[in-house]
Amino acid sequence: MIQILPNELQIEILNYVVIETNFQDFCTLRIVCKKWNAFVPLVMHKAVVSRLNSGLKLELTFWNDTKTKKLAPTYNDYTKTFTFQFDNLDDDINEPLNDNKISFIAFVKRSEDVLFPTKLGAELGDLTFPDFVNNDMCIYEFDNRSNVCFKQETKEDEEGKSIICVKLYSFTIEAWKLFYILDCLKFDTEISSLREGFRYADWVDWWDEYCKWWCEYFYNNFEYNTL
Amino acid sequence: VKLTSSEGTEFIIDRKVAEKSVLLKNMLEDVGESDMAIPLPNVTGPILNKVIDYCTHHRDDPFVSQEDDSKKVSDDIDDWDAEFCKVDQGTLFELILSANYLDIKPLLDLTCKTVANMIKGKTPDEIRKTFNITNDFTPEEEEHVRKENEWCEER
Repeated sequence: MIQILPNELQIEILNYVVIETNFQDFCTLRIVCKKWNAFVPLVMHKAVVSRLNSGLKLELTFWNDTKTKKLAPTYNDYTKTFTFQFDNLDDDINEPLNDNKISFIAFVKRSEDVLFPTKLGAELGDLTFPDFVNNDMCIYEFDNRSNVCFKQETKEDEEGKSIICVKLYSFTIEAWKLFYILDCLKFDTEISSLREGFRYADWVDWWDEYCKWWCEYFYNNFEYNTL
Repeated sequence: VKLTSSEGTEFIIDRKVAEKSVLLKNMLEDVGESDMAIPLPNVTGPILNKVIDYCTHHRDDPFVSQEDDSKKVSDDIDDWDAEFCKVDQGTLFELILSANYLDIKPLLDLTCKTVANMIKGKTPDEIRKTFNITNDFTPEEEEHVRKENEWCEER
């Protein structure tokens, strides 16, 4: 009976379903019929972008450096991955003093409409500082689908000398990992129930976020003359 | 304002009620004052009657224009609206089509939310049964989709 509705109205209905359903359950709707198998990824992609745009940020923590940017990822249903493109990110990545591997964690931060901001990350693997051998791009594959890509660029410093700098170019994550992070943040999954390979930010990070949040809150909500 | 349903039944309603529909509002603005009935060939009499009920009840509600996902929660349906939507599936889907055709966003939201509530928490099989959807996957295709979704099963 629902199939008398045109595609755009069936999608509109699914847009309502996804808002209050976790991605895991929503994903199972692909099995309903061929049409829904095509609609569900579209709706999920829109919901991911919407959740990321409403106060969620992606953070990539590495070499004691954090890149944070509000980003709209692109979705590839063939590889089942989301890709975040950082090509407009100005910051360079500083080469560390030693060659130690670092643990690469992609955090998503929830900050809207909650008392305390919460960050949940996917631990993707270890990597060393990028080594550019034959071209200006260097890709680290973490698992069969997730990867991070660095780009080498030449630019001029203040004295006009050419210097080489390294930038984060793109980050690709398996779709289910991003869905899982967003679900946990939305539905307040307890630490003890988290799947292996995922973790909330350290207490130190949390405290730092908490202090920042209070400063912002204080700044935004109290005018000088009300004190 | 005079409206004519697909079977030719005539309905006379206040202009304010008619203007809940963006389609009718634009038509009335274009045409100006006229005694001519506006034909609505895509809407049957009983459905038009329901739509008029809805628009009459909500005639003084503020105009809703922006699409805002944060407001798309399905629990905020008030008692009158919930009662209004207690109809058979055929009528509900006809209401969705009419709300879309007449461009009445709050009615479209309400009816879509109602259907969304019927979907939430159900298994694919239950959804197929509820809405009489034919499973057009071959067993191999269905298995393939299930395999792709395996991460959903591992709780």
